[in-house]
Amino acid sequence: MKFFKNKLAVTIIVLSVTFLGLIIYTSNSSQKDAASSGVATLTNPLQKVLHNMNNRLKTTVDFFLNFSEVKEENKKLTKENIDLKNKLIEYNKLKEENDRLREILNFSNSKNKYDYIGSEIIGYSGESFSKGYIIDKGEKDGLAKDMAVISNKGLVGKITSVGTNWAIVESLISENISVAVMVESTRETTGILSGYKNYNSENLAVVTNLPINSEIKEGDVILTSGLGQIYPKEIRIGEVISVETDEVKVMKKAIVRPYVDFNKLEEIFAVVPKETRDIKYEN
Amino acid sequence: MKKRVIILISILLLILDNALMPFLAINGSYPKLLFIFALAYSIINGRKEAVFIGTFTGILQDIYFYNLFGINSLINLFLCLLAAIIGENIYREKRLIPVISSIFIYILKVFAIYIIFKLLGKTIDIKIGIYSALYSSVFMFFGYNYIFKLCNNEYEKINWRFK
Repeated sequence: MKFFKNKLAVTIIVLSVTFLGLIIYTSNSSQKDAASSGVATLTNPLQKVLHNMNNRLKTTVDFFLNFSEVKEENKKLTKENIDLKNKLIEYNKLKEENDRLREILNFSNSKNKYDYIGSEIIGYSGESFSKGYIIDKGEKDGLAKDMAVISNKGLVGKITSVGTNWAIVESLISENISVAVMVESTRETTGILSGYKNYNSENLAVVTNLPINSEIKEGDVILTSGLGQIYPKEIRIGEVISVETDEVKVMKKAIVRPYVDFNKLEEIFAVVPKETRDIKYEN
Repeated sequence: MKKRVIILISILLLILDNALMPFLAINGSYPKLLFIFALAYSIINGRKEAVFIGTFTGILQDIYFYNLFGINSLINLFLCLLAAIIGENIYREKRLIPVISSIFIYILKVFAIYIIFKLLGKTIDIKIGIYSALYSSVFMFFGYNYIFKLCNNEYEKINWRFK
């Protein structure tokens, strides 16, 4: 029994058994436990300040380094803006007409089923092996595990755990997240999207499980399909940049460049269903 | 007294890790100062301290590590112990061996996380993990002497008092 007299060895064994138990216990739970939630509440404000400071520095440096690009982009955007304004006038006319017709038909408006809760990114999670973000809204604001998260450009990912006033979002370029998708041009809904990295380690995504006779091509837009009720229907994800045929599995595979630039995310929106208590998006 | 300083440093490094380091990322990988600090501290201070710092930093890292609590704690505990055992067999004043062993221990950590994640049906990017190991060793190279001094100052004070 000499072994058990060694205090250090006993400590190590007790600790490791505890941690093993914790891993197994927490692998299925959705909530951050009270202790870690509390510590995070203390460190979050400091983190937020530091993160915002760095972000501002980064954008300023970016601006000066890419000044010519910014100028060009500005020109392009001005042009696009004029275009869009023209379209907006048209849109308003159509909307009014649509509203009128809706009233006549007594149609329920499907897009009003969700609330969009804006929140700021205050840090990164996941030890740099897989991409995740810490955001500054949590359970208090009505967020829960498995809710979809979008930005103004498209789908970002989903919430994987929540604390009282913070939450962790895992992005769709992480390989741990799969999304049921639809190809906009062909309306095929069998695709499954998950994270992917090419040789230049660009953050891309890949759609698998497309039928072999699919007419998917470069430039096609990928949307969420709403199957599985995990993500709301028809959120934009990205654009196809190349298509491969997998002869062994008899299916097609498409590499997708997400619209969201995951290195430049600042503000994101959590999609909260208005009525359902367990997170299921009605489509 | 000394533990309090260590705890404060750890929390500060955790905040730096989450908020500052991602902006210094090269090719998507960024260093983890907290883990490197724990390794250096255990190399210098031996097994008992290694168990303490390993557990503590592990718990801190776990707070922001998705919804799996305990992975970092478990791995850090054993790796800091390994670092302490390495530390017993080297001249601690020289930083070459600590820097090299920090690379290997970091890579070990990446593989350990990979294996646990695989068991739970998830996956991580090993390549980025290895890049971060190399990147972190740079910080180890420059920081080791400071940590060594920090720890040894305390020892000197105690010696002086009791002799």
